Amino acid sequence: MGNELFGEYAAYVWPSYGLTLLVMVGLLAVSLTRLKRLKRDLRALEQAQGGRRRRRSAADADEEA
Amino acid sequence: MSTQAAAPRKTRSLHRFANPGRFLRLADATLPWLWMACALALAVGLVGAFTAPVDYQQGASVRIMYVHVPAAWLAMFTYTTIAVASAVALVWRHPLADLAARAASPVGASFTLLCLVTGSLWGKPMWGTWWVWDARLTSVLVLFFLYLGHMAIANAFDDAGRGRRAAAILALVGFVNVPIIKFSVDWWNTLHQTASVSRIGAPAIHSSMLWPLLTMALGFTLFFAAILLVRMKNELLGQRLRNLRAASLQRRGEPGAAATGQPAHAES
Amino acid sequence: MRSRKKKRLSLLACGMLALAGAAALTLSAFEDNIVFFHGPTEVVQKDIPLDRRFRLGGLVQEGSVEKVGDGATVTFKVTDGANAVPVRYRGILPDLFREGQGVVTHGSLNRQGVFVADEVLAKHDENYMPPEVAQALKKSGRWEGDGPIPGAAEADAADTDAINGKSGLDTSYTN
Repeated sequence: MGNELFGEYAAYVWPSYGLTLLVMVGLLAVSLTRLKRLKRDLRALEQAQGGRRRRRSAADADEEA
Repeated sequence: MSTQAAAPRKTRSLHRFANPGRFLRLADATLPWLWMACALALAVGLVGAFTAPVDYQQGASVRIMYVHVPAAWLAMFTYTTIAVASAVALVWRHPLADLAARAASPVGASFTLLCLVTGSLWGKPMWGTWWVWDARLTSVLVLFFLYLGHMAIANAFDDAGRGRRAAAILALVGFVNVPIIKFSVDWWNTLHQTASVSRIGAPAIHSSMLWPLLTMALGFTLFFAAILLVRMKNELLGQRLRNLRAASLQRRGEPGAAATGQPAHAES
Repeated sequence: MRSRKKKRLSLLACGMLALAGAAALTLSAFEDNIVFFHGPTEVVQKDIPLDRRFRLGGLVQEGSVEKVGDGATVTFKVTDGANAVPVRYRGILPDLFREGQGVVTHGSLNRQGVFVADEVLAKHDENYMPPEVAQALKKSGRWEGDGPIPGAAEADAADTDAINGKSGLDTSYTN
């Protein structure tokens, strides 16, 4: 099938598309994994502090960010 | 909050999205649509790229164009985004501009590398070489190193604010390279050919090959927009996490912990 | 507050302007080193030392390609329309090498004025189109086969149909 699509250049075209996929999936995986971890850590920290304190410090963080 | 409310009207409109809560809500509302549009454009573009006719001279190797050219466009577009964000950060001290520049840098580096490697894979069968030191190829390699430098400087300082400022200045200085990349093929003799799409007059690409190329470019750009929003969210949440940790340490009576991770936005 | 922002903005604008100026001056000063190859006219007019290695670029002159001796050595002329320089090369030619095609060769001149190359790279132009469209354009006399193509993008189905039969993926583009 590769040969029908890309003829004698299959050895150059397939790696190009493969690398493109790798770059996009890689960026996506790295970014989403970090997002997930950050959300988990934030939730854990806010739960640990709890109550009036949590509300205040979260507001502080918003102001500064 | 109170300082923002008191600021002049114009400043307030510029800083409308400075509120991280509002930015996060806006990003969450936009992201699903961005991902859908991106997937659609990439799917249609990919079908177009694989079914487009082969080139009269280059045969099937021309299919590399449909990933190489969008990667190159994105490499330059991302750097331009970083330069604009850096200028906004330096002049107006907009808090999100720094985050945008930091978040975009690794994305730009990735696509510059992709552009270089796919170009190499295209150059070997067509030109007869993986690499030459002509003005176009060399200036794109310089762009790659500028991205690496930007990423390194942004993280090199203990004082986060100073790191951001140094990275912003590097981004602006490096911006001279972008027009050099774009016009290198017109100003000097190069092995790389001149522009086909963005030239004066009609594009030099047959319409049957042009539409898949433009669709792929749209898909790449949407991907960049979506991944940038996700990464800016990451930067914001990371900052919030650092602030919370610092605050809890301070409460426990550990001095010095509060000094980290707090950008100084004294004015606005 | 506003005036400080204005000050920063003008400082930034001045900095960028100075930077652009410095870059322009540097690049024009080093122009000779930045160009990747020299054209035949430059080579003919300038007195280049015999042992100096440089790159010669231009179009392969029509009808000038000849195989000599063992068949692995090829001679051709590189032309820019005004002047032509004879080239001798021994080795593998890139797929795109053919008469009328842009090439960049690396080597040096010998006593007979022949450019002895040890590297030949093909340079392709910015035109992309299906083989049928290229054939139709040539047939209708709107394009000679090298140089820019008049309205390649607009070449429509009428042109394509003119060459009778959609051969589909014509493989004549490789030789």
